[in-house]
Amino acid sequence: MYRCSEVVRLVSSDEYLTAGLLRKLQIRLHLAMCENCSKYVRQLRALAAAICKTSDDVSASDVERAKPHILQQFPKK
Amino acid sequence: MAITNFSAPEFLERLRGRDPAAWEAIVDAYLPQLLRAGRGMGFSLDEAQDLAQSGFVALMESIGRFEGRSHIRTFLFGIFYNKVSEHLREKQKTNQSDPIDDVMESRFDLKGRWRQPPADIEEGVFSREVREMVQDCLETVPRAQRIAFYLREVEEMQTKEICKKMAVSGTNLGVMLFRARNRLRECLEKKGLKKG
Repeated sequence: MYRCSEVVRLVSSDEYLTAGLLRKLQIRLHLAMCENCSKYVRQLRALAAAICKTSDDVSASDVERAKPHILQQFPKK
Repeated sequence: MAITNFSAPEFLERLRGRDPAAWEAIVDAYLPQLLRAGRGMGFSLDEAQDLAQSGFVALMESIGRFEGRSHIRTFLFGIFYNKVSEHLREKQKTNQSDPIDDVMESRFDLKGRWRQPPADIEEGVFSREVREMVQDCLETVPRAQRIAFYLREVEEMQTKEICKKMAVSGTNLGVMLFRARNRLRECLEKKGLKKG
């Protein structure tokens, strides 16, 4: 059986994804039985979801400011 | 503005012919996304703008070779990520020791059992407060780790693809993701405790 420290490492490094079927099953079994580890993994997932919501902090005025710099790079006809 | 089908052969022809209106349409469509991606990966707005700019310039230089087999967005983002990893290669040294490794080690006893179990953190994704906390914590994540994390979680790239883009081994990428995720979690936990 896996130790808690190994489960946390395998999941947070994505090594879990490339593990074989048996290892994956063992990890899932551990998570099903271990409250701390399953909580930990749940938190990592929530974090990933929060990141996707966070990367929206570019405003329309930022874009407007950048645009002329870019258009300037293109040769005129 | 008229809706343009960027994949249409006529539109590609206009791009190749350096039609300013066509290029402006491309910039309007993708500049916001590129800036957002740059910011998401931890670049400043100025840096994100520079990266986007060199992406568009490289697109113009290579549009003659683009055959339209993939979507132009995919092509442009491919170029953009190459620029990002070029930028990175200049300053990066990955596998040095990192304080987060010690923090993680101290959480477990010698038998690998939890010594310091995870505290509760706010898991509500949609609260503004949490998003601000996450933003603050992101600033503490080193650049390379943050890029790896962004490509994985936001762009949802396959790990193999990220390795290629960032020119790192699978093991290295694993270490970077491990550090980025745990560093962020630790940071949120600390902030949460301070508040409570």
